[in-house]
Parts: sequence; C-alpha cells; structure tokens
Amino acid sequence: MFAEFSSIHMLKKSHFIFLLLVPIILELALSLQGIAYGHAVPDRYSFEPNSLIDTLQTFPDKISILFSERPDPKVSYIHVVDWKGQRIDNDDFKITGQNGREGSISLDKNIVKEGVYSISWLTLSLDDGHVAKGTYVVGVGNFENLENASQNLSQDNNVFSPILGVLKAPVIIGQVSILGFVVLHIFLCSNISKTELRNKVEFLLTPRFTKLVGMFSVMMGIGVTLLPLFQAVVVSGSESSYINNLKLLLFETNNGVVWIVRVVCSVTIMCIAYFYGKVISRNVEVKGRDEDHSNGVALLFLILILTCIFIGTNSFVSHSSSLQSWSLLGITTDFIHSVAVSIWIGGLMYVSYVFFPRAASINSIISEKSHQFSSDPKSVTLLILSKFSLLATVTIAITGITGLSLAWLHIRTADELLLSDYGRTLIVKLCIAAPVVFMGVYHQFWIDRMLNFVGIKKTENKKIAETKFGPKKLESIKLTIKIETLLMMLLLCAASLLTVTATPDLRGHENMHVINSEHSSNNAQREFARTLEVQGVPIDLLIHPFHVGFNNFTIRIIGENQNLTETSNIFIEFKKSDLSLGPIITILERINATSYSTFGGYLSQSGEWDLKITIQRINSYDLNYRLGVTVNSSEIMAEHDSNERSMSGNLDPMHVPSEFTYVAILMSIVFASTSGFFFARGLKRLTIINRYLNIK
Amino acid sequence: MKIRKQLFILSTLVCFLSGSFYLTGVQNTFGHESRLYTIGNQDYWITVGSMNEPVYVDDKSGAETFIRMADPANPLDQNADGTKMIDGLEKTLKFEISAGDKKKILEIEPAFNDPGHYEAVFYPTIETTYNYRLFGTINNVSLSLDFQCSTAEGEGNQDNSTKQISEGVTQKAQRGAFGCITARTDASFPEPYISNNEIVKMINQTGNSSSN
Repeated sequence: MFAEFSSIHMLKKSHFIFLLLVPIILELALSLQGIAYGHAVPDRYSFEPNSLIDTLQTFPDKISILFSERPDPKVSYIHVVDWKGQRIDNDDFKITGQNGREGSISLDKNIVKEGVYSISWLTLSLDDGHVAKGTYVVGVGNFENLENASQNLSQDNNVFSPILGVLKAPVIIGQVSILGFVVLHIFLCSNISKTELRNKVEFLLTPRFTKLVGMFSVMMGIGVTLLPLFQAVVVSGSESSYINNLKLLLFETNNGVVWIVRVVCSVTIMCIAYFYGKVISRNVEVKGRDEDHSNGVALLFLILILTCIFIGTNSFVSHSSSLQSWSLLGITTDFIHSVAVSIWIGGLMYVSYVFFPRAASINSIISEKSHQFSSDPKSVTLLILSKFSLLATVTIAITGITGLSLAWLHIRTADELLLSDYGRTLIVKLCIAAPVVFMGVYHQFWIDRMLNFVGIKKTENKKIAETKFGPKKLESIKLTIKIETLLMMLLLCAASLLTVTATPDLRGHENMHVINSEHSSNNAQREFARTLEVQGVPIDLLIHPFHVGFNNFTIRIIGENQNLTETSNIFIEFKKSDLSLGPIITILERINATSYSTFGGYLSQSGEWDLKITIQRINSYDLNYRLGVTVNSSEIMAEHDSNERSMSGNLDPMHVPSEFTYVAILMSIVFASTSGFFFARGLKRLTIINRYLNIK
Repeated sequence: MKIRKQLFILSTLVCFLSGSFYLTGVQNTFGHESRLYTIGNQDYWITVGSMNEPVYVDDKSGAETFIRMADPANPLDQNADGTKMIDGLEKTLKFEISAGDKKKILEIEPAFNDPGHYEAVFYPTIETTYNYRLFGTINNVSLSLDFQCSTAEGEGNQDNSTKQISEGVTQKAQRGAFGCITARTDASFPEPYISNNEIVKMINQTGNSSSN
C-alpha cells in the first residue's frame, strides 16, 4: 500500500517543467499585448515631442527630460540628431534637479538649421536597474506636416517590459521556492523531537530537497545574469561595443553591484545545498542515525540568510525605492511581503513536491518508532497539512496586509487602479490570488472534515471513516494542492510583471518648464485661454503655462473673413501699474497661417497685469485688444488648482489622501481577524490530531 | 521644504531679473527716430516723430522733423558740436501721413524760434499704426523717406549699416524709434473717454438702426 502510495506521488519531471513553463508563456502572451511598460520613462519634456518652432532663435540651448525614475548617468543618454544623422548635442548628458530624475544635454546651436530633429533617449534606472529607450522628433521651420513626416519616429518608446518580465519570472520563482523549501524543511525536521526519527526523516527528504534547491538557485543565477546581458544589448548601439557596455553595466553601476551580490548568493546557495546533501548522507553513514546532526541545520540557516539577502536586493530595487518619501517603509514592507509570500508559496511547493512523494516512507518510519502512531499515511499527511496550514495562515495574513500597504503606497485613486498599467496588472495578480486563497480555505475545511472521520469519530464510524478518507480523497487533496501551486506560479509571474511596470504615482505629476507645446497632449499644466473680439475680429489668446515666470503666449486669429496675409505684425504689451512696470512689449512669431506665438518671462511678478494685443494690418487700421490678467506664483496656483498637485504631495502618500486609505485599513482588519479565526481553528485541530496520534 | 523655498526665491529672482532686462531693453517706445543720410555729397541727420509725445487719440499732434548737417569730424554722433541745423527746407519738403488705407499730404511749417525743426500738425483720430513719409528735395537731391511709428521698437535701437535708399540718398545709421498713438482708455478720468471716431460710429449705427 505504501509503495503504491509513493509511486503515485513521485515527482514527474514533465509535470514540473510544465508548471514552470506555462506561467512564463502566459506572461509572455500577456506582455506582448502591450499591458506593461518599464521604468525610467519620460514624464515631461522641455521640448515636447512633435513640437514645431518657427525660428532658430527660439530653439532651446538644451534638451531636458524628466524621467519617472532616476537614470544612471554612466549609461543613460539623450542624443539629438539632425535629418542627416549628425549629432547636434555636445555629448554632455548630466542629471539635473534635486530628485535626480531630470536628465539634460546641451546643444550646439551654431549648427542648428531648419529641419526635423530626432531626440533619442536611453535610461538605466538607478531605482530598479531596468533599461528603457525611445525616440521622438521635433522640428524647426515652417513644416506643415511634421507629424506626418515623423509618424514612424514620434514617441517610439521601447521599454522591453515583456522580455524583462519573462527574465525576472524565474528569479522570483527561484527565490520564493528556496526560501519556502528551507523554512518548511527546518520547520518539519525541528518538529520531530526524537533525534533518531528526525535524522531518518531528514535523510529521506534531503535528496529531493537539495536537488530542487540546487535547480532553483541555478534558475536564479541564470535569470539575474540574463538581465544585464540583455540590457547590454539594448544599451549597445552602432557607436559602442557590447563588451564595453557589459563591463560598464556590471562593474561601474549600482546595478552591477546588485548583480554581483545576487550571483554570489545564487552560486553559494547552490554549493551549500550540495554540501548539505553530502553532510546529511555522511552523517548517517559515519555518525549513525542516533546522533544529533546540528551541522546540517547550520547550513540550512546559511541558505536562509543568503536567500533573504537575495530577496533584500530585490526590495532595494523595487518600486518602493523610487518613492521620494516613505521609501524605507516601502522597502521594508516589500521585503516582509516577499518573505511571507515565499514561506507561503514555497512552503506549499515543498509539501507538494518534497513531502508528498516521501509521505508513505516517513509514515512507516514513524510507525516503527512509535507504536501508537497510526500506520496509515493519511495520518502523517493530516499532521503535516495541519501544521503547514497554521504557518500559511500567518503568512497569508502578513502577505495580505503588506500587499495592501504597498498598493496603498503606489495607488491612491480609483483611476490609477483601473486605468494605469500598474493598477491593471495588480488587478490581474489579485484575480489569480483570490482563487489561491479560496483554495487555501477549502483545504482548511477539508482537513477539518477528514479530522471528523479520522480523529473524533474513529471508534464509532471507522468503516465510514475508511470510506470517506480513503486513498481517493488523499489523491484529490494532492491534486487541488498541485492546482494551487500552479496558480501560485501564475501569481509569481504576475508579480514579476508588476515589478517591471511603472507605478502611477511616479508618472505625470511634476512641473517642468515646457518650451514649445503646440502639439502637446499634456494638459496637466495650467493655462489661460480667452477669446477677445474687436471690430468683429475674434482672436484666441492662450498663455501656457499660466504662472509667474516664463510662458508661451499664443494668439490664433479666428473668423472666416480675415485676410491674414495682410497682417504685418502682432505685439503684446505688458503693463503692471501697481509696480510701475512696463510697458514691456514683445513681438510674436508667426507659427502657421492663423497663429502667432512668443515665449518669455514677461509676467515676472504675481498680481494684476494689463495686456494690450496689437494686430498690425496692411491697408487697415490696427486691431487693439485689451485685457487684464491676474497671475499668481506657481506654488500659490498649485494650492488652488485641483488639476495640479505639488511634487511633495504626489510623492508622499500622507499628503495626498488616498481614496483607498479606509478601504485598506478595513481590509487589513478583515485579513487579520479572518487569519486569527483560522489560526485558532488550526491550533484546535492540531491539538486533536496530536491527541489522536499520541504525539506530544 | 527648505530647498523648495530656496528654489522658489531663486526662480522669483530670475523672473524679476528677466523682467528687468525686458524693462531696460524694450520699455521705452516714446521718442523719435533719427537716421544719418548721405544726400548728394553731404551727411544729414534727419529725425522724425510725432509732436507732443506721448500722443493720445484726438490730441493735437502731428509729424515733425529735425534736420541737421552731421559733424564731419564725428558724423555718427547726432549731438556732436559740429552739427548744424538746416533751415528753409519747408519749401522743398512735405509729409505724407498714412494710417490704414488713408493717406494725406501735409505741408511742413518751421517751428517757432527753432531752426531745422519742421512741423505738420494733424489730430490723430484713431489708435493705429501711423506712417510718415518725408519727401521732396534736400541739397537738390530728390528723396522719399518712410518712417513708421513703432509699438515694439525702442530708443535703444541702433543700426550702423549702410543701405541705398534712392539715387543720391544713402542711409548710413539709424537710432531709436517713435511711438504710436495711444488710446485714451487708460488715461481718462473721471468718465471713460470715447474718441470722436467712436462717437461717429455710434451715431452712424444709431442712424442706420432707426432708418431700418
């Protein structure tokens, strides 16, 4: 019977490969649909994509891009190339701004001529080590069809998330599995008080344990090595060699240090797992089965520490490290979340792939040593599942609460949850997590039901118990646990995709001076728009952004019967009577057939300004438009404008109340109380099983 | 927080300085425009502007010109000691003033007790760009010089380039600009000022609507 039981639950390689490959393939399929995108990507541009400026005089001295994360200046760059492929930048890319997220490069204006320019950027994020790059175009001169001309180039951002997500999946699966395996292995062995019995059980479980830990460490090592190898390919262009870029990435950047730590950890774990296997077999051969083998436990703890370091490096380069404030809390929460998830998921994998195949053998050993112990393998299974369910209950509670905290840190509105890629990926992850949790609850009730037959009702209804809790039932629980494991693999793949998806809080919240935004789609910045009419000629005035400092002033002449070829000049006169400023007069440049524009710091003070717009016409009287505008400083405007949020406010969750704060608190309480309930039930159940098996 | 405050102060300072730059560089549009011409074989500084600047709509104003012979020792300095005012040109010179599609030729009169200064009085009735064309002969050379009031250009403007205007007339330098006629809107008190032109329009509109 035991042999039959054992053969059914032997780990089949094909099943295991299937378990590993299916989630990765599914993730790749999801990624290729364009769900995710990567990290240090442009938030704001000083020179907006597809901008068209009329004259060389207004061409900027430098190009700045505000990225969603901090670019590493050793690898990252901005290149500005003219239509002939000639660089017009001074190759002096540097990080500007106090948050380290703005990169800029100066331009050689002497060689700027009318034409279309391509601006290429590449970033290696200091926050998560991901590479992203893209290209967009701008134009100088009277191009009416710039957008058509540059259709293939505009906003061509490539963030490689699908590939990064796939490369990261084995790393995450590996770290989760190793930590869970080691914790469960220690947990299982330490729960057997008799040394001889413990040594026998450990000896039985170790070969499979070491093989799997070794395999997962190799997976991790390969995964973390493939990441910089791939990034070096991305970074290498026609101008730089692959080897040099790889050296740069590995030995001169912070991410290189992280890579070295991870590789060292992976290799060391693999070696220790191998030596652990050797030590256990040697102990049995040399010392005998009755002596204490504490040297083996020390090696397990060493693996545990190394895996925690490995997980720690992941947390340090996670989204939480990008937060300007609460970063440490985020990193710590991320680490606790990862460890809890590892114990839960890795533990279940251990039960499924290490313990179950040896359950019969372990039971027979225990039966030999303890005559009161039931000789039925389901007794051991029940005992292990009951003990693991206690551990799982605690880890699920920690996972749920820390997960909610992380979501609360990064997502603060329903829009961010439903419309952002990060929010959508999180929803996918939660959709996978929900059945996993439900299956866990189902297993809890299954154990209770079996307990009723085996434990409490054993004497009265033994025949019924044998019928209800026969090998078929045991098979079914193993099947559902395997399904749960598969879902957990999917969950880890969704988590890996989540790590390469930019969080909504990092995008689109910072002010940056915009030089020209004729075609800009970003309407987040404030603007002043007014339609004025004199002598039956209406015009649109647009001041963008509308705050003290430098602004774009655009005038569009509307109306059907205006012969604009007879417009010679358009001026704006600025006056500030209370400070006796002005008149400050500027002439506007013609942008296209109906629009004129200028850029400058004319509104230099907050308060009321009198503006007079003069449209000079040939053979007609001038058109003079007058209006008063009240302009406030940027900070004051930010307080009054609900569409604009201050930098600190966006990056500090305590300053911007999340729509989910109360929901998160409520769900945390629900998680904690539900887990507490199941934990109490689990303890009670364990007591019954122990009593039944006469185990103290 | 400290850094943000410092940034705010810095940006305000930058904005203030940039505003000051514009103030010093572009602000003053009131004045006259002077040009150095070689007419025949002689250098002349011809200065043109509007009378009684700053001029508001319906003010008594006009086109005026100051014509002096340049100092041969320092021709580019219109205020050099060697300059010499030229009188008697009212017989050979005239102004053509234009605004929109309207043009009018005005005789010039010598200003009282101010040799070399000539005036052509008119009442500007609309706020628009005015063009003054000085034409006739100086030093027996025919000339036609166009001047336009400026909204944007300031007195700081300076140009020493040489360009041929017509036969025997070469422009060698240019200094400053003169302002356009301004509406009384901002300066009226206690009731808002309505220009004569606007009143005429209103009357016409009232007449049209009553006849309809």
